[in-house]
Amino acid sequence: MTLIQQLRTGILTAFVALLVGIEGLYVWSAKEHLEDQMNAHANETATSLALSIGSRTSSIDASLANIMINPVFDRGHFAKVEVRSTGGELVFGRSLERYESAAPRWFVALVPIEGPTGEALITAGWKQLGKVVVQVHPGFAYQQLYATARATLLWLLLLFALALVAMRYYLVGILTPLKQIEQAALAISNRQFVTIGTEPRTLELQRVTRAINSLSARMRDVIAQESDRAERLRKDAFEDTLTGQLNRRGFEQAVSATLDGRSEIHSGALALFSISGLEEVNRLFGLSKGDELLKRLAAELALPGRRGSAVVGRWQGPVLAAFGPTVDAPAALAWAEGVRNAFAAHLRQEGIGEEVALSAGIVHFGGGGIALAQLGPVAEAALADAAQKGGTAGGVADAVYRSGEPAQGAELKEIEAAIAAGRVTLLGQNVITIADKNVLQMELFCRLTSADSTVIPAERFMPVASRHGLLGALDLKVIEQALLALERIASLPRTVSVNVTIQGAGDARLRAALLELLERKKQVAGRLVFEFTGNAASRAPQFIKTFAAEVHRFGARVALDSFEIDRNSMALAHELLPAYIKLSPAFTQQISTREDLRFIVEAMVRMLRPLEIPLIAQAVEDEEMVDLLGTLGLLGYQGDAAGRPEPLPG
Amino acid sequence: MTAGKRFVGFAVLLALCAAVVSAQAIQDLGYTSSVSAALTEQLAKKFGARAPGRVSDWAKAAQKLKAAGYAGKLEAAKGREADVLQDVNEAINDRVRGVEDRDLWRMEDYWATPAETIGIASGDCEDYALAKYYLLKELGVPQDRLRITYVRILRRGGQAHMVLAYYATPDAEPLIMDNLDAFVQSASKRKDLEPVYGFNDDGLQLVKTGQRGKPAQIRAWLALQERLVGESRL
Repeated sequence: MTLIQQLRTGILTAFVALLVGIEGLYVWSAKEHLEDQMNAHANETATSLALSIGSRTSSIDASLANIMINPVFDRGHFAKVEVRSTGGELVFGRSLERYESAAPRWFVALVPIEGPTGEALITAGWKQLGKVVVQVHPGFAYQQLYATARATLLWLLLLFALALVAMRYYLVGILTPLKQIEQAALAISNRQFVTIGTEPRTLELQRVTRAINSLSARMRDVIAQESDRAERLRKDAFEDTLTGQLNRRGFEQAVSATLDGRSEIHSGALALFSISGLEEVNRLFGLSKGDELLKRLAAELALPGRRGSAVVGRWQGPVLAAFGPTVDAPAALAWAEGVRNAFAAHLRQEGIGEEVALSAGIVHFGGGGIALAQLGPVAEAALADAAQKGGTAGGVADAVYRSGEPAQGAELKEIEAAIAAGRVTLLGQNVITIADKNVLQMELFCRLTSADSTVIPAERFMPVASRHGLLGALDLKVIEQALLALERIASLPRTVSVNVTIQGAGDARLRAALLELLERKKQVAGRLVFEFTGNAASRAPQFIKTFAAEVHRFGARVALDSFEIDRNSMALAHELLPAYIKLSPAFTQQISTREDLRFIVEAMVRMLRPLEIPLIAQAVEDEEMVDLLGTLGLLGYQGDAAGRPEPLPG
Repeated sequence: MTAGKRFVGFAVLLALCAAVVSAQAIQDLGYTSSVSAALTEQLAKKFGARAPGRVSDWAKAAQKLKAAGYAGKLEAAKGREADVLQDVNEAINDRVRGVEDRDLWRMEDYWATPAETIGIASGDCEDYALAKYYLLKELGVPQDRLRITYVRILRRGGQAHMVLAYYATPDAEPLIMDNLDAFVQSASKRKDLEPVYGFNDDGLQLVKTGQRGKPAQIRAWLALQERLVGESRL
């Protein structure tokens, strides 16, 4: 029960008790008053009758009593009027067998009023003749008491209703600041260190607000400091100080992440741009001129194009590289020519003549399983070709690299049929905690099988699924299988993660189907974590936030894997607040040999700790690496050292 | 036993005690035996240092009459009740000096309690009648034989007066205990008095148990009862 509900219930109960109490007291007091009045009436009547009878006779008889009593009795207020002798015998009496009352029976039963009796001696001189006994009936008293009770109740109910309305506004006034504090506390518990804008006037709430704001501010400072530190280290490690773009290592890492097996990129272009004649420029215009031209070219390459920004870095010396995912060959060629023209215009503007030329070598690629190491030499060859053909004017040359023919014909149909038929089997790989080697979670991978139960490799079906828009159906199938496995297999770890693609989750129809599936399986849905790649997250952070909010209703969470550390990564982690982050395998491979990477990871761990985002390493192959990761503050690891992907038990 | 049951039990016990104490107090109202030390102290403050002695003397006289079996003697004295009643008549008449309310209490009409009347040793006709009434009750005389009676004094032009009438039986001629007459006499010998209205406190106990029937029309009687209850609480 919330505080406002408790307050409302308490106040309402108090009000009702007060209403009942006041009404009861009022009715009781009115009853007492009426009884006193009736008592006086009975005694006065008895006395009057006794005096009247006594003054008229020296001995009482029935006829006199009859004459004296009838006018009094017939007024209707009395249940009984009697004259009795000194010995107690009835001389004459009148009584009502029943009387009418305007009050309902329940009221009469609830508030019993006894008709009082009054007695007075009849004396003639000193002689006692007998006594008059008068009993008043309570019919009129009930009538008056009921009318009073009803009127009082109506007034009290009116006041009660007004008081309730007033109380509601009063409580809203008091509790609105409390609501703000609660929302801030919830946000903080959700790792969003917000500040409460307006301080409440209530002293206690004011203190709590200040404490929350102070805590939030301190946490934000810590996160900002660690974030800045990690960013500085990242710049030192991955950025070229001259151009401000990525250095060779940074470029390789960024492209590797884009071409990761799980990524949805299966085509694109790598372009190398080389400026010749820089020595001559340096000689003629001073040493800094050559550097300025390189910076100018880097800036030109980094300009956002129609298909978004390319990954830009310094390949080596005067050679800059640009990687455009999903860019086709004509577009890449047109873009390279555009860059060359813009650069040439700049040279003319600077008064630099033919001594400087810009050449570009482009390699287009398609199909899965491509690595930068394969594209680099082809692009270099194309660049050499362009430089040779273009001579002093420079030029553009391109080449095509294919890792293998894309699936087509019978193979394409086989893959499509396998996805449509849901011939998906799951493999699970545990994530182990570094500190105590417990199973932290299990990541589920899918394996597609053909009709004859032959395993179709991921590098064959992923490009097909991506190209034909089948990733969503595949994702949904995997999630469905994962939920069934969670229901069926008791030995699975508490948390199980599945990979989700932007293409899949971005499809509104499929997302609706996914949410319906989670609703159906809500008993186990809370154990699921949906993993997006860091690259996908940096492309569509807002979408991932929306998706996270949608699945959060079922207790499911969102995490990031294959996470690269680039210039947006700190902000991304802060914005998305994933359940955890799995660092790219490239990190693991290099971390033992590169101290700068270790520093970056340590800084990230410190930054993410207040946000309660643990870091997990992927592709960990041996215990030596596990120990090293432990010293850096990572929570868990995944890879051969933790066990290879295995079919699910049962 | 739960706390709730203990509470209910305690409340019932308390109510019973209160009822017993209340009944006892009502029964003893106006009696010499119910004069407490605090009341004596209060009377001394109000009426002077002699008041406690007067009250003590009055109480002793009552105890003496009681010890002598007053009620039995009265019961046994068929036809001679006036002689027995004379003791009480004198016991009060001798201790109280006749003073009008407006001179004594600075009020038009004030019915003093017996303790006040004895303490101040003064009073008007009502105070005599009341003091005798309560003393007779204390001595064990059934109250249905006693009537505090309004009368008119014929020889004084119908002046309002009050006496105590004793009815040996309901039909009997009453004996009149009057402060204007040193002797208790039968009503037929008191030609100077014309009775108007008589009452006693038959209904008092009934009033306190929630029933009705008290002589509520006598405002001064009610005020007297309140003062008696007040004295009993001292």
